[in-house]
Amino acid sequence: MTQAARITPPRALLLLVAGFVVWSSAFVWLYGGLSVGCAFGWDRITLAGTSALRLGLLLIWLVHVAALGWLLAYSRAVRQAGRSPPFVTTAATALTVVALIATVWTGLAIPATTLCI
Amino acid sequence: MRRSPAGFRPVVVAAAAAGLAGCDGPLSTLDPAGPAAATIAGLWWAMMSGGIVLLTIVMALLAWAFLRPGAGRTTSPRVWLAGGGLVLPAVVLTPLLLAGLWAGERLLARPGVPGIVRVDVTARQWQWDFVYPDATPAVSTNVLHIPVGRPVDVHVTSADVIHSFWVPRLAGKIDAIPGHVTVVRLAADRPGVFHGVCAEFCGTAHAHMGFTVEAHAADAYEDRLRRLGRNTR
Repeated sequence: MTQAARITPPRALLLLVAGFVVWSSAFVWLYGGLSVGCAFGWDRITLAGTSALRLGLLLIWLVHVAALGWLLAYSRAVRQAGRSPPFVTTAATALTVVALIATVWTGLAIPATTLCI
Repeated sequence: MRRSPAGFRPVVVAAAAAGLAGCDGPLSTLDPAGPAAATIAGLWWAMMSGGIVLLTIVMALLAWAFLRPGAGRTTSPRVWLAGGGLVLPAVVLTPLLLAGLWAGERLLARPGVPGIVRVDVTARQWQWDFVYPDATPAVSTNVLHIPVGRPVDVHVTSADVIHSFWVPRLAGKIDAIPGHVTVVRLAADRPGVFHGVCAEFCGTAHAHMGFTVEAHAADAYEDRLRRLGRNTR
C-alpha cells in the first residue's frame, strides 16, 4: 500500500491549506532574501553569469515550485486512493494547482527586474 | 415619470464634488510637475482604466441577468467560474502588473545619471532639515530648494521616529527611518512652489509636519544656495 493510500480523512484536511502554505513560504523567503541580500551586497557578487543574489532567489523560487509539483502529485494520489471525502481531495488538488500557478507567477519577475540600487 | 426622492440630486452632486476635489490642489498626484510624478500618475490612470473596463463588463453581465432572466443558463457554471473568476481578472490585471513593473523600474534612483543633485534630509518631530552637500555648508529648514529640470536624489533619514517624505506633485513617497538612509529621486519640470507632507503618522503634530519645495531656474538656484550658505555661516 502506498503512503498516499494510507492517509486518513483528518489528515486530508491539511492538504486543503498545504499549497498556499508553500506559496506563503516562497513569498516570505523571496521578500526576506531580497532585503538581506541587498543589505549584504550579494548582488555585487557574480556567479554563473548573473548576480549571486538573483541566483539565490531563483533557487528559492525553484525549490518551492518543485515542492508544489510534488504536493500536486501527492494530492492526486490521495484523491485516487479514494479513502478521503471526494470533495476534500478534489478541492485540495484544485487549491494546490492555484497555489502552483500563483507561485510561478510571483517569481516570473525575478530574472527581469532590478534587485538592489 | 417617477421622480427621484427629494434631496437625492444635491447628495449626489456633493459626493461627486467631494471626490473630485482630491484631483486638484497643491497635494494632487493627478497634477504632476515632474517625470517621476508623471509616471505615477500614468500608472494611476492605467489602473483607473482597467477598473472601469472590469466594472463595465461586470455591470453589463449583471444587467443582462436582470433583463433576460435565465439567458445564461445554457452556459455551464464551470465556464462562469473560470471565465469570471480567472480569465477576466487575468486579462485585465496582467497588463496592469506589467505597467506597474515598468513604472517601478523607471522610478528607481539609479546611479550614474549625469547632472544629479544631492540633498540630505533629516526628519524629526516636527520639522524637516535639508543639507546641500554640493554647496556646503548650506542648510534650510522646512523649505527644500531644487533646480528645475535636473534629477534630485533626496537621501532621507530620521532623528527620532519613522516619518515619510512625500511631495505628491514631484515624486512618490519614501520612509524616513532612524539609523537608515533611503533615497528617492524627484525632479521638477517647471519653476514653482510645491507642497510636501509627512506621509507616515509620527505623533501628535504629524498633520502639521509639512514643508515646501521651491524649484528655481539654474541661475536662481545657485544664487539661492549661496545666500543659504551665507546665512548658515
